[in-house]
Parts: sequence; structure tokens; C-alpha cells
Amino acid sequence: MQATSFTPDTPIRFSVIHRLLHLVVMFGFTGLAVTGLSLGLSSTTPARGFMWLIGGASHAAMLHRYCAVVTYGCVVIHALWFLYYKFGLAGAWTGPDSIVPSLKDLKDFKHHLAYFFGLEKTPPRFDKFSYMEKIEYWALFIGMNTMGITGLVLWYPECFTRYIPGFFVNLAQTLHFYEAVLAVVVKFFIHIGMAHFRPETYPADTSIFTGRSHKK
Amino acid sequence: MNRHILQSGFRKIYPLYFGIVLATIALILIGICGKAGAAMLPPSGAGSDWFIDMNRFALSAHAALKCDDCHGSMIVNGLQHSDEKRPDFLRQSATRTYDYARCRRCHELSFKRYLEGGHAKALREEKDPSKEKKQVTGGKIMAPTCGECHASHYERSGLSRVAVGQRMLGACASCHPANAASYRNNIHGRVGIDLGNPKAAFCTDCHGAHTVDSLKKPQTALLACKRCHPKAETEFTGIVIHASLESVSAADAPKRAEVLWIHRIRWFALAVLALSLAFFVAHSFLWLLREIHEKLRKH
Amino acid sequence: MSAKGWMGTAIAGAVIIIMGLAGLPQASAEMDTLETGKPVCLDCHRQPNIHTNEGVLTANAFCNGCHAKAECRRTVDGKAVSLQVPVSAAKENPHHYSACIHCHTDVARSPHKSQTGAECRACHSVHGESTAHAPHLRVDCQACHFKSKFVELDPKDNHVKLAHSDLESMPISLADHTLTDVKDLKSCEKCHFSDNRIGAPAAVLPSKSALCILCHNSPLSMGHPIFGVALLIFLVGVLATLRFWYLGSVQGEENSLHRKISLSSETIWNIIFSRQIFSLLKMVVLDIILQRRILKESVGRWSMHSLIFSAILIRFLLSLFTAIIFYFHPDGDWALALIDKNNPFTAFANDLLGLFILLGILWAVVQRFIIKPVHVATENQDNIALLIIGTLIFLGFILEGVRILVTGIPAEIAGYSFIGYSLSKILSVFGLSWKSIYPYLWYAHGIVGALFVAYLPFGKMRHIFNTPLTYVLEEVSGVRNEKRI
Repeated sequence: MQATSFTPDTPIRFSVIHRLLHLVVMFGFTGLAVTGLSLGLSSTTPARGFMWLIGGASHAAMLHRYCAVVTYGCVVIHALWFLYYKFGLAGAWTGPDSIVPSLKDLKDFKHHLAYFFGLEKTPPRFDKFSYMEKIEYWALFIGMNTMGITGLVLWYPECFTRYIPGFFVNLAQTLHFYEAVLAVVVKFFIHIGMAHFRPETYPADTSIFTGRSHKK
Repeated sequence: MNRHILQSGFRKIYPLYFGIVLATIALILIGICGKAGAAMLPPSGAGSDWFIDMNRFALSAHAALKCDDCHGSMIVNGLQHSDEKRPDFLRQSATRTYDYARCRRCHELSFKRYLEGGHAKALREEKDPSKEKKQVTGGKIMAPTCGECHASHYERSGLSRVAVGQRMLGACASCHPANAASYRNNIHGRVGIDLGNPKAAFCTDCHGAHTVDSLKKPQTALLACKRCHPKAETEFTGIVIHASLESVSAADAPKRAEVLWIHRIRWFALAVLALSLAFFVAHSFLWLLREIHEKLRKH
Repeated sequence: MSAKGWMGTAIAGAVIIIMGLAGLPQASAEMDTLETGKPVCLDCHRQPNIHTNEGVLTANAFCNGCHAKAECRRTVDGKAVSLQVPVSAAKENPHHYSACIHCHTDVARSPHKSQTGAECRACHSVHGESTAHAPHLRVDCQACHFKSKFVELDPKDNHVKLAHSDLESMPISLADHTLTDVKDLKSCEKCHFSDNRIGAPAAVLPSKSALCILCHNSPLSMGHPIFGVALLIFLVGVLATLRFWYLGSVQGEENSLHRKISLSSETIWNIIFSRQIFSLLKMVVLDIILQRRILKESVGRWSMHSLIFSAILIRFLLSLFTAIIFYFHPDGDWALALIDKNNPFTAFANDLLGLFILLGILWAVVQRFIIKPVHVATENQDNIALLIIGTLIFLGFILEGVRILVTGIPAEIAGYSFIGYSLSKILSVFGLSWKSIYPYLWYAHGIVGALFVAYLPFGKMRHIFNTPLTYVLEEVSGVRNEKRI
């Protein structure tokens, strides 16, 4: 199933800091999802049951904000790492190891679609990050920051309404809820599905935990 | 760290790990579904008021009173109760034939506060045929007297803040369904009604008990908000609680515009959600099919 | 005793008697009031316990205070309509022991008007497929079960109700609670006649057969005799096939059918109670339900076959689930949702799955007749199989469209049947008398369905038994034909 060998020259894909951040974000995100959806879907039975389990809506709110701080902390650390990568290591903004989308990704997408429909025999050779992973990364970037900003507005409405109109808080609440639903569905079903249930990587794509990529 | 173990060991325990995760989720859901109590709103008023259920009456706040303490002798102006000759026989609601001034004997303060409020004003307008009727509820509903909101024979006393709030919503919702629905969608409704947290605001916490303030003016609304949000300032009252078009009166154009914006953003967010999910699901499904096919052929 | 002693006794006795008389219970002031005075509130207004026989009589006495009298009437358009309820003395009447307020739950109040109507569903479940199927969910109980002859369609909720006036718009009294004999199918003609104004088909149609459970929520009865005939033909075909198979040798035994059957049943038993059963089950799930071997051949072929097969399988499981849950819990939310063809989930799922089947059939037709790849040979039996299934689904959709058109379901509800609703809009362009056409369409769909069942053991559709059986046999014997799927 997995054609992997752990020789010293198996390329390192994720350094320790990224593996650590992913681990923390995994748990933080799950906490955010469970506490947040218990409020957003409060009229359902599992939501009320969960609130009973953790001792009421006030505790859920506290847990939610706690996880939010931790998760967004990871975003901040990641941003700081990027500054180190760019200015400390003089890393390249573009190129085959970059997370920035390029024309090759468009070509890869077309090639991959052709492969789905049987028009190509083999899948495309991806660079360090495939187009799908880049989409997920940048969607997450937009998503986390949206959730962070709207979440902050919802956390301190008295402070924010000194500068923005009141109904912006309602807008923030709407965006926060729908972005949450999108993020949860994509992460829990699509992301986990693609990382666990694809025959190429079944039972699990462990490269984010081991740091090594698969040698093909 | 021996990465070898991580790789091959993980594969070995994978079925077990997966099974444990599924079992945990299943147990949590089952347990949670069993324990959760639904936010019970009292059943609607359908039922008879000609027949008094003495068991429920005995548990009510008025249990120590006798029938004639409130109903008197049932002979008014020479007419005896259940007089078929009355022109409005069987046609009038019981809440219109009963004189609620009798409640003042015990509920003086509440009665005075009711007289100051919007409900009493609506009742005066309803009774005055010359006055033009102001439509607040957008329907053919009668103005409320004491009996419309309080079940005279069965109302219980000494209930918790949350229980009172939940019953209150049922009463207010019978004439203000749009406001009740939008309140339930708002965070105060979710935390108070669905999740039963006493810290939330219920109808009368903002709108005043019996005085039913309208909160259209920002200054009045700010006083209501400051009760729980002491740091709030004027623009804080711009946050829309009853965020549906049916809850906002047709005359209030700026607020209607704001509510429309909220709906537009909602539709935009829904569209982004639907399109993104459609793409991700279709892409993943096609990818899976192709990979399973290729893997099957290799064996 | 002396004279004084007798006098003393007499006086003592008299005193005792007088005192005794004085102590006798006398009509006191309270007793005066109870016997001759005015009634107390709770004499009438205490809620009777209608779970008891005495309570039912008390409650009914309250209502009969007005409703037993001939003068009890109301005036509609100047005409008097009687509200006198004939008191049923007959103990055979099923509602003889019910209180008025058992059914008229919200009418004992001022104003004396009901908002909910009579609540039959408080005691009675809805009907299942065998008696009065899904489209009757929009018919009020009284419309069929009361003897009153006139019915109307209420545009507010699209429900069929008893009409308050007759055909000349004269108000009629609905106070008579006599029940119809609904076992007599002639009573159905109250609504099912040509040119009816409530959107009912022009004829009384039989219920579905148990054979229809492959796609539909069906009762456990054979229905129309034609389905019985189809089942018989099917059974004959199956038996003929089995007999043909057992002409061959079984584990060396050539002649004795009895030996052959006992040998094969021994083998089956031993496999079921062995470790092999797990790998067998895994093969059933992966190869038979998920069609892994076809996916190994080609994604396109798997998709086409899955569109037909998986959709039918899911529909079958859904119908089975509906039948079971309706049997055990007919008033539950899920049962009521699943038997209601207009329920959003049921409508959408049925249309989507039917569309899948049709798309699969169309794809197969294109493959066989337009693309014509070299490896595909098309024989008569292939065409018959495609024709039967294709016609069945096509007729099914047309029937759905006509149903939605005839019953006049509003767009917000019917929109969930996205195909049925669109078809109803298209068909409405043709000003045909769809109420009269519907019965013919129904019979056509039923006949094709019966044909499908009857033809199963004789044509290419035999593969739905043969292929799984072959996989199982190969798995058990360890022999595998690599040249075919």
C-alpha cells in the first residue's frame, strides 16, 4: 500500500514546527467546532446534550474563546515563521517548493481531471504541494482570519460598536456561522477523507506527522 | 523518534483506532440524546375554558381562592350567567366579558404598570370605535388584557427564571410570532430558550414587565442593553435583535435596509458554502473512484 | 314500682324522647340551599374525567344541554341549519362511549368555535398503503367516514373536507355523526367519479401489490390478481431454473436429486457456520453491493451500472424500512414522513433515485446503439430488459406528474419532486382530462411492473441472482474465472 522507505534521503516535507502547529490546530479546531456548533445549532438535541455535559453555555463560551486564542496563536506563529523563512532563510516566494499557486497548478488540475475521466493514464507529478493542498491552505488562510475577525467582533461588541455600525455585528455573526459550517464540513469530511480513505494513502497520510514525504 | 514505528505501527492499529473513534462518537451521541432535555414551551391554548381542571387549579397560584372571589355572583344587571338571550352569546371571547379590574385587589402594582404600557393603549383603541387602529402585530388579533397572557386558573408561581422566560415566549409569540422567531434565532434566544441559561435576556428583561416598551428610540434601548452590557454605548443598540423583515415595521426604512443587508450577506455566504462544497465533494468523489479502480487493477 | 316511680319514669322518658327528637338531623340552613337553591359554579364547570364512563356521561350531559334540543340551530344566509346531534343509543356505534370533547377538543370555550376541528388522530392512526394510500393524507377523516354526501376542496390547505353546502349551495347540517360503511367500495365514489372537483382520479384504483416493494412503500397483500399471476410465472421460472441446475452433478453425485439437494444443503450449512463466512460477507459487501469487480474493469461501466443498481437497491431498502417502521409506529414522525409522497425528503429522494435509474438506462442505450464499442454485443434479451425497466421508470414519472397536476399541490410543496413538478407543468399545457387518463396510466405502470417480475427468471435480468450466486460459489470453492468480471 504505502511505498515508503525511511532512508536518510527521504525528503523532509514538514519541519518540526509545522508538525507541532498542525497537531495543536487539530485539537483546537475540533474544540472550536464542537463548542461553536452547540451554540449555532442550539435547538438540536445533541447540542443541548453537549451543553449539559460541559456545564452550560457559559462554559462552552469560555472553552470556545480559549480554543480560539490557541488556534489563532498558531496562525500568528505560522506567520512569524514565514517572516523567518523569507527574511532569515531568504526563501523563495515562488518555485516548486512554494505554497503559492502557479500556472503549473492549473495544468496539474486539468491533467488530474483528465485522469479522473480516464483520458490520462497516470496522475500528474505534483511538486512539493499539490494544487488541492494549496487550495486547502489558502482557503484555510482566508477562513481562519475571517473567523478570527468576526469572532473578535462577537466577543467584544461593546468595544467594536464604538467604531462600526451596530448591524455589522449581525453581519459578523452570519459570516461566522456559515464560514464555520464550510470549514467543519471541509475539514471533517473532505480533508480527513482525502487523508485517510484514498487508496494511495490508506490507512492514513502520515506525512504531516512524520514530516517525510512518500518516495514514489 | 523511530519513524519506522510510527509508520508501520500506525497501520497495524488503524482499525482499532478507527473503531474506538467511531464508538466514542456513537456513545457520546447516544448518551447526549438521552440526557438532553428539550426546551419545553407550554402547550398552546387549545383546550376548553368552560371546564376547569381542578387538579391543575389546585397546583396553581390561585388555588386558595374560591370561584366567587374573582367571579362574584355571576349575576350582572339582572342577567344571569349563560344567558342565551345575550346578543353576543357564545360569540364573545371569555377575556372580553370578564372585568379584569378585579385583579387589582391583589395585583395593584402590575395593573398600574400595565395601564402605562402599550398593551393597555391598544386595548383603549380597540374599545374606542372612533380611533384609528394601529397595527403592531400585523393581524386581526385582539389587544391583550390580563387573561390573554396569564392563564388565570392554571398559572403557577415560584418558577425559575428560565422556566418563566420560556413560558413568556410562548405567550408573547401568540401575537408577535415574527419577533419570537427572530428572537429564537438570536444569541439571546438560543442561550435562554434552547440552552436554558438564566444569564440570557428574555422578552420582559428588555421590553419591561407589563410596561411593554417598544425600544425604537436608541436611548430607551440603551438603558435596556446596559442592564447586562454596562460598557455599551449608543451604537451598540444598532445591533439588530429581531433580524427579520416581518419584525421591522414598514415605516422604519433604515432598519429595514439593515435587515435586508443581513439577508443579502446570508444568501452570499450560503452560495459560497454550496458552491465550495459542490466542488470539493465532486472532486473528491471522482478522485476516489479513479484511485480505487487503479488500485484494483494493480492486484 | 310506686306511683311516684312511674311518674318519674314517664317524665324522664318524655324528656329523653323530646331531647332525642331535638337531636334528630334537621333541615338546616345549608341543606335548604342544596335542595332548593341555585347551582354552584363547579356543578357544571368542574372538568369531568373523560377517561371514566361517568365522566363521559357528565361531559355529554353538558353539551346535550343545548345540542340535544331540536331548537339548537344556527342561521346561514337566512336559512336555519340544525345543530342538533342525534344521540346514538346504539351500543354498536363505535363512538358511543366517547365524550363529545374527546374529538372536539377545543370547542368547550368562548367563543364557541373550534380552530383545530375534530381530532380523529388523537386515537386513530393514518391509513397505510393497503387501505387508503398516501394521496389520502390530504383528505379529512370525516370526508370518507361520514355519511354526508358532499365534499369540497379547501384552497387554504389543499385538503378535501365535508362541504357545508350541497350542489345548489344550500347549507346542510353536518351534525349527524353516522358513519359510512367504508368496506363497501361504492362509498369511494363520493370523490372518485368523472369530473369531480376535488382532484381525485376518476376511478377507484386498487392498492399496490407487495411486489412493488422493490421501489415503493407497499402493503403486504397481492393487490390486483395480475400481480398474483406475475408472481406465479416468476416462481415457475425460478423452479424451472433450479431444476435445470440440478440436472448436473453435485460433488460426484449424478442421479439422485434427493442426494444432490442434501449434499448441497450440507455444504451451505457448513459454510455458514465456519470462519469462511467472514470473508464471504466481505465479498458480498465489496463485490455485490459496491460492485468492486466492475470498478476494476472500468469507471464508466461501474458508474452506469451503479446508477441503475444502487438506486434500485436504495429505493428497496427505503421501502422496506418504511413498511417496517409504519407497522411498528404508524404515528411517528419518520413513518408519516416516509409514507407521504409530498414530504420534502421522500419526494426528493424518490425523484433523484428514479432519475439515476433513468440516466443509467439512457447511458446503456447510448452505449449499445450509438457508441457501439467492439466488446459489447447487443442481443434481443438485452433490449427487452432495458425496454422494460426504462418504460417502467418513464411511466412512473409521467404518473407522478399527472398526480401532482390532478391533485393541484402548490409549488412550494411539489417543488421537492423536481421532476414530477416540472412534468406536471409540461402536461398541464395539454388540456386533456387528466383525471380520467390517470387510471389508465396507473394500470399501464402496474402491468409493466408485473411483467418485470414475471420476466425476471427468463431474460438477462436473471443476472441479479446468477451473478451473486456465482461469486459466492467461487469464493467458497476457491476457483475463479479470470476471464470475466
